[in-house]
Parts: sequence; structure tokens; C-alpha cells
Amino acid sequence: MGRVGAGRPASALDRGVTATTLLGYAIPSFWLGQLAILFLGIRYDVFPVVGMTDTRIEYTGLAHVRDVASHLVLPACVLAVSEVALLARLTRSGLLRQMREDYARTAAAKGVSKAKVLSRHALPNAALPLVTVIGARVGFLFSGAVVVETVFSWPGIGLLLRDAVNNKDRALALGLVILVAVSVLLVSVSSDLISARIDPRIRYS
Amino acid sequence: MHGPASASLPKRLPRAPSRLMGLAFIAALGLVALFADRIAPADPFATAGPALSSPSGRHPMGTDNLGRDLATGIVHGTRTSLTVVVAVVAISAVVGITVGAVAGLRGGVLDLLLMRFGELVQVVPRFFLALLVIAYFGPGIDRLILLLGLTSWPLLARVVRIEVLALKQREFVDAAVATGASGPRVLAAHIVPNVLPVAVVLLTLLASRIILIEAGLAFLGLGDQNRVSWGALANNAQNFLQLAWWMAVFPGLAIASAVFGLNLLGGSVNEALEHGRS
Repeated sequence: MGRVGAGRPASALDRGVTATTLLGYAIPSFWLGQLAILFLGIRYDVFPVVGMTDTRIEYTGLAHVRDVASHLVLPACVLAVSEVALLARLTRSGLLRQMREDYARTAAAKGVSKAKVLSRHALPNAALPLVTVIGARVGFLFSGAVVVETVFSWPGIGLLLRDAVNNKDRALALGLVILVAVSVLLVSVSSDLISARIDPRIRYS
Repeated sequence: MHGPASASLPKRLPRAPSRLMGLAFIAALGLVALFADRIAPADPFATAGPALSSPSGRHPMGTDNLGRDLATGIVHGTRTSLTVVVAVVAISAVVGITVGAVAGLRGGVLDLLLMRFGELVQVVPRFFLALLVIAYFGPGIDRLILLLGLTSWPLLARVVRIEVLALKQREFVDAAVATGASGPRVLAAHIVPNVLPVAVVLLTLLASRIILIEAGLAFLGLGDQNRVSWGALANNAQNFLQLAWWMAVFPGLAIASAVFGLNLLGGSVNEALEHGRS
């Protein structure tokens, strides 16, 4: 989406993408979840909306995997929307910045088409900082998960944490928050290491 | 583009429709919050009609499971959300600009200590810190404001510090120091006006984040029980999704439009700043 928007800055298409991503970023995940339940779950009954498995039938093997996957569709999509919006916005602004660089002008000057300069030359460079951003977003994903798990009654640590806080089970709440903090740290360190691996300009002494 | 302190924000930026739209959104929200008692004089917790009645002339957004008017609740919820936002933004603006300016002007060990401390504050996501505080001290708007305010400043401090480092090299700061201006005077008259545009961008984006955090906590049933809030209204809707779509739709719409307005404003000011810089 960011690539589409950056193709023609300030065009109608670009404005549309920008407005969509702004909206996607503004919508609270629990609301999106409730809307999804209202329309896809209740009105049209496309996807199951509660829990992780079908409570009526005990599936095993492959059928169990398919059962869980179908329950996962809505929560996962709802949680992903704001991330998609954020990444699209960052990709767009990153691409626009890269297109002002000398190498992009050089590529255009030797006759490479604009679409190709964008996708082949600018996109990899614009994507580098995104690794760091994705790493830094893990904390937000966790907090989003607490809310989304509540909407869809998904039995994960998010729901466990909410119940712990509601029941004033302080030891459990503290433990879960420490677990989350450590995971966030680990992911952020590894995303830094990954970006150092793929970007030769970054060196750690 | 950093002229002496006289150039103000609106003069410097070209007009843009998205910024005006964002401003209009925010102004409307502010007015609703200020005049909540006039717009919706009824008690938001009082029963106003039959339970679960769909939107109508009498109840433009319907009523909830106890017959409380949803429109009244949303108007008063605006006040709760904006109280938290304004307080948190004020705290982080003061702390962030002060810490950033002091770190940038003084430099040395103090700079290092302040910046490392800022990173330390950011390790645990704010949402989880808030959950912990609620688990230990119970829900309440006062501790939520304190917690969010005292954990939201490091980003602003870092940006202000970098701006200050650049400003320190400029002649007009030298001139002010040479004419005998004191440290706080240089800060107030020359540094603050120049970092203000960047601070405005960061603070509007922070405000939208705070609205989402507050709504998320209230949605989990962990907000202040004595105040109406958008998140709590949405939480209440969760049990009646099949019966009353309006209970879920309108609170979410309020949150989304508030966040959208703030992001629109922050984003367009930011774009104008980048434009002016390149």
C-alpha cells in the first residue's frame, strides 16, 4: 500500500491510501473486533467469533488445526489492521525520501522506469528501518492482544492478565508483565541485530 | 528555518485542508467536553427510557441494557477522555521539554544519565505498567494520569535534546548568552519557541495514543468506575452484541473520530515541517 501511495504523491490514489491508513490506525482494535463479530460473525456467520476451538465437537489431528485456524482468522486480522496501516505509512514516507536520493535520480537518468526505480531500488532501502519498527511494535502487539483476546474470548496470556488484574491476583499479574517485558526486550535486541546483518552501513563495535 | 523566537507556528506553515479538518475535529471535541453539562444535562448514569431501545428521536444513539441514554454517556465520556489526555500531555510536555533542554544545554554526565533514564522508563510498555498499577492500587483516573504522564516524556525529551544541540550552535543563542541572559531565560525565550513545532507534532500523536490506551483499559473494565468513558460503554456492549448493535457502534465511532482527528492534525503539521526543511 505504501508503494502504491508513493508512486504518485498527492494523486487521488495516494490521498485514498493515506486516508485509509489514517483510519486503520485510528480505529480501536476492540471496536473493529466488535464490528467484525456483528457483521462477519452474527449477520453472515462466516467465521466463529468466540474461543479457540469448537466446543461442540472434539477435533483431533488435522481437523483440530483447521478448527483453531478458523477461530484465529478474525482476531488475527483485527490485531493486524493497525500494524498494516502503520507500515504502509512508514513505507510511503520512506520511499518518498529515498526517491530524492542521488542513486534514485541516477537510475532514472539511465532510463530505468519510475515503477522499477521504486520497486527495485528504493523499496529495499526504505524497508530497512521497518525491521526496527516491527521489532519495536511487539510491545504494542502484546497490549493489543490483551484487548483483542477479551473481545474474542481467546484463551491467551492477554486474557489471563486481564483476569489476574480483575481478581487482584498481583503475583500472577506481575509475573505476566515481567514475561512481556523480557519478550519485548529480546525481540528489540534481535531486530537490531537483524537490521545490522542486512544493512552493511550499521556496524557494532 | 529556525529563526529567532518571533516566528510563530501558524505563520510558518502553509495552509492545508487536512490540518484544518484535524483542527475542526479537535475543536469540536474540546467544545463537547467543556459544555458536556449543557449539551446533555441528564445524569449519564440515570435511567432515561426503556432498556435496549434502538436509536430514535428521543434517544439518538439508543439506550443500554439498563435504559441509560447512550448519547448522554458519549458526551460525558468525551470529558473523561479529554481530561486524561490534556493532563497526560501537559505532564509529558513539561517533563519532556525540560529534560531534553537541560540534557542538550548541559551535556556531559547529566546528559548521559537523563537519556539512559529515559530509555529505562520506556522498557515496559505503558499499557502493561498501567495494568500493574491497577492490579496493585485499584482503578482510578488520577493514578492513570500520573503513570501515563511520567512514562510518556522520553521520546519528546530525545527530540528536544537533538533540536537544542543544533540550536546551541546558532548565533542568536550565542548573542543572548553574550548579552548576559541567564540559563532559564535562554531556555524560555529562545529554545522553547523553536522546539515548539516539533513538540506539537509529538504531543498530538501522543494524545491519540493516550486516548486509545485509556479506552483500552476502560474496555477491559479497568477504568474509573465513577466516570462514564467511551471504553467502558464499549465494554458494556460486549454482552449485548447480538441484541443492540448501537451500543457497540457509537462509542467506537467516538474514539475513532477523536484519534483520527488528532492523527490528521499531527501528520499534516509534521509533513509541513519536513517540507519546510528539505
